[in-house]
Amino acid sequence: MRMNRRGFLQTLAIGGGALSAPSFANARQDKALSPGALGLLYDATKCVGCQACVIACKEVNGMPPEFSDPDHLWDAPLGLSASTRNVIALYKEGGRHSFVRQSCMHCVDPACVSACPVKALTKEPKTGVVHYDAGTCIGCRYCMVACPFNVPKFEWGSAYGKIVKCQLCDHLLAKGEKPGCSSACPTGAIQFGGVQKLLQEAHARLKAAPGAYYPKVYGEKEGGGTQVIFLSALPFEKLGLPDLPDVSSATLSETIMHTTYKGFGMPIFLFALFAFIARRNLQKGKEE
Amino acid sequence: MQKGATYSYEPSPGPLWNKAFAAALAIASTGALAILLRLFFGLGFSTNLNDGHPWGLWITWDVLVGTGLGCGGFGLALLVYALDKREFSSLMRPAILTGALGYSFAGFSVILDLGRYGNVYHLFMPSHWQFNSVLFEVALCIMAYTLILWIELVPAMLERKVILGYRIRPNILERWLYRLLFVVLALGMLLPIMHQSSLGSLLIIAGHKVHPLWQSILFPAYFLISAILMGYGAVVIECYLTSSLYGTPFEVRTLGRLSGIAAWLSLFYLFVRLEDLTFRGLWAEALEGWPGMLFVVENALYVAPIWIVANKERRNNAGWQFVAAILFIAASALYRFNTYWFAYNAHVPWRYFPSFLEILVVIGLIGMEVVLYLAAIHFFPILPASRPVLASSEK
Repeated sequence: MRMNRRGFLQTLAIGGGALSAPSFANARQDKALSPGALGLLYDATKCVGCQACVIACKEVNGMPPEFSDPDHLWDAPLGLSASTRNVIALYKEGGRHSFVRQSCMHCVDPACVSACPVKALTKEPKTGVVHYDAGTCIGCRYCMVACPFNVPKFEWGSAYGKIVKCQLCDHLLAKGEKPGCSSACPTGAIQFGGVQKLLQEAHARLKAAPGAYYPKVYGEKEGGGTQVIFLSALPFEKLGLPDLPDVSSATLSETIMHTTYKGFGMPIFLFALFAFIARRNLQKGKEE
Repeated sequence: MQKGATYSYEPSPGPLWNKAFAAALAIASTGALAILLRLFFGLGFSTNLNDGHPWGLWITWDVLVGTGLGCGGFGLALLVYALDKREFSSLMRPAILTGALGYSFAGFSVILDLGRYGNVYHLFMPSHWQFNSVLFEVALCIMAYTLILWIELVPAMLERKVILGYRIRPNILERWLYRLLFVVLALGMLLPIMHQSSLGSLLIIAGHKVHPLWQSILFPAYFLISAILMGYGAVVIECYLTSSLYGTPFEVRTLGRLSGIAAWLSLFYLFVRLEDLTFRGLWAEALEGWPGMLFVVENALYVAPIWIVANKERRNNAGWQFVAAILFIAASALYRFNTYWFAYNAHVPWRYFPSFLEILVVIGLIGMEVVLYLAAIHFFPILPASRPVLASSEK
C-alpha cells in the first residue's frame, strides 16, 4: 500500500509538472483592433447634456420610455437598463462639472464574448461590433458578471427576459446609415467613424488644446482597448470609467482555461492515471 | 487496521412515513409553489436580483454550497480508490447519494435561474459550443458528473432484489457495470477536479469587480480545496445524524482520521492563501473595513476546526467531530459566498439581499432533497448495516 501511494504521488508530480511547465508559454494572445473597426468618439467637453442621443437611440431601436419623475411625464432614465441602451450622466465636483456617456464600449477583446457559453454574444470580425442574439441566449447573465463596464442589462420585468445592450445600431450600419445617437447629437460630441481615424482625431484634439483636456484618450488601451473612446476635461475615474489594466480580463481567463484544457491533455492524463489505479485497487480488493 | 473488510448495507429501519418525512414533504410543496411563481412571473417578480448583482442566492447556495456539500463522494473516492485507504469505503454510499441529490438540485436550480431556460439545449449543440467560456466547461462537466453519481448508485439499487414487485436478477447490465466500474470511478474523480476548480476560474474574468482579497489567479485551487473540505464535513454530519436516528454504526476512529485529513488540507489552504496575500502585498487591506472583517471571519473559521482536530482526544470524540465538520463547511461556504456575493461589487448603486421567494425556493429545494434522501435510504441499501457482516476493525 505504501509503495502504491508513493508511486501514485510520484507519477502525479512528474506528469503534472511535465504538462503544466511548458503550457504557460501558450498564453493566449491579446486581440488586436480590426482595420475596419467602427466606433464612436465621445468628447465630454462638447456635450451639453441635452439627451437627444438618448431619445434618438430609443426611436431607432424601438425602446420604451423610462420615467424617473413622479408624474411619469419625461423619458428620463437614470442609468443603463433593459429599456435604455445609451444615457448621458452628470458628474459634479465643486464648481466643475462634466457629462459622461454610458453605452456599450464594443471592446477590442470583449469579456462578454469570452464569457458567453453559447455564442449569443459575438464580435463581428470586420466592424468589431459586439452583437447579441436573443434567440441563442440562455439567460445565464455571465456576460453581466464579466463586463468591466456593467453594460449588458437584463429584462427583469419579463417572465422570459433577454439581455439588452447597444449594438452600434448595426441594423442602420447595414443600410449605410450612422448610429442614432451620433446622428442626433447637435454639438458633435458623439462622432461616428472608423476607430483608427477617431483615435487620430482624438489625439489631434489633445494636441491642439492641451489645457482643455485630461491628457489621455480613454479606451485606447483600457481593458485591451475599446472601439468607443472618450475625451474629457476631468479624470476618467471621476466620470465612472474604471481604471483598467491594458489587457482584457478575457486574456487571463482564457489563458488559464486553455492552459488547463489544451488538447485535453491534462484531463486525459488524469483520467488514465485514476483509471489505472482504481482498476488495480479494485482487483486487489477482490483477491483479498 | 484490517483491510478488505466487506461492508454490508441495508435499507433504513422503520416506516417511511413519519413526522420528519411529512414535514419535509410540506416544505417541498411550498417550494414547488414558489417555483411556479418564478416560472409564471419571471425573475424580476420573484427575486431581488438586479443589474448590479445578476447572480444571487440561488447560485451561491444551490450551486456553490450545494455541489460543495455533494463532494463527499468525490473526496472519499480519492482516499478509497486513488490512495487505497479502504477503511473509508463504508462511508461511500450515503455520500454518493447526497452528491447525486445535491448536484441534481443544483442543476435544477440553475434552470430556474436561467432567464431563457427554453434555450438551454444550446449547451448540447456543437454549433453553439464556446470553448473560451469557463461557464460552458462548468455546465457540461457538472451535468456529466451528475450522471456519473447516479451510475455509481446503480449497484446499490441492483442489490435490492425486488423493486415494486419486480424481481431483479443479476443481468448483463450488472456484469458490464462491474467490469467498467474503474472507468466510472476514474471519471468520478476527474470531473469534480475539473468543474470545482473551474467554479473558481469563473470569476477571473470579473476582474476588478471581485475584491482584491479574493480575486486571485489561485481561484481554481481554493475552490477545489473548499469543495473537498465541504464534502468531508458533510460526510461526518451525515454519519452523525443517521447513527443517532437509525442506530447505524458511527465509526469514531475512521471519522477522526477523516477529520485529521480535512485539518491538514485546511492548514495547506491557509498557508497558500496567506502566502498569496503576502505575495500581492495585501496585508494592509486584509484588516480594512467590511471586506476585511469578512476575510478575518472566513479564515478564523478555518483555524477553529484545525485547533479542534489537533488534539487527539477531541479528534476521536463524536461531538467535537460534529462541531469541526460544521466549521469546515461554514468556512468554505463563507469563502464561496464572499467571492460570488459579499465581495462582489460592480461599483454601481445596486445592493442585493434575497427576496422572500428566493429564500422559499432554497428551503423548498432542501425539503425536496430530504424527501428523496429519506425515500432512497428506505427503499435501497444505502446506509451501512447496524451489524456489519465482518465486524470492522475498530472497536
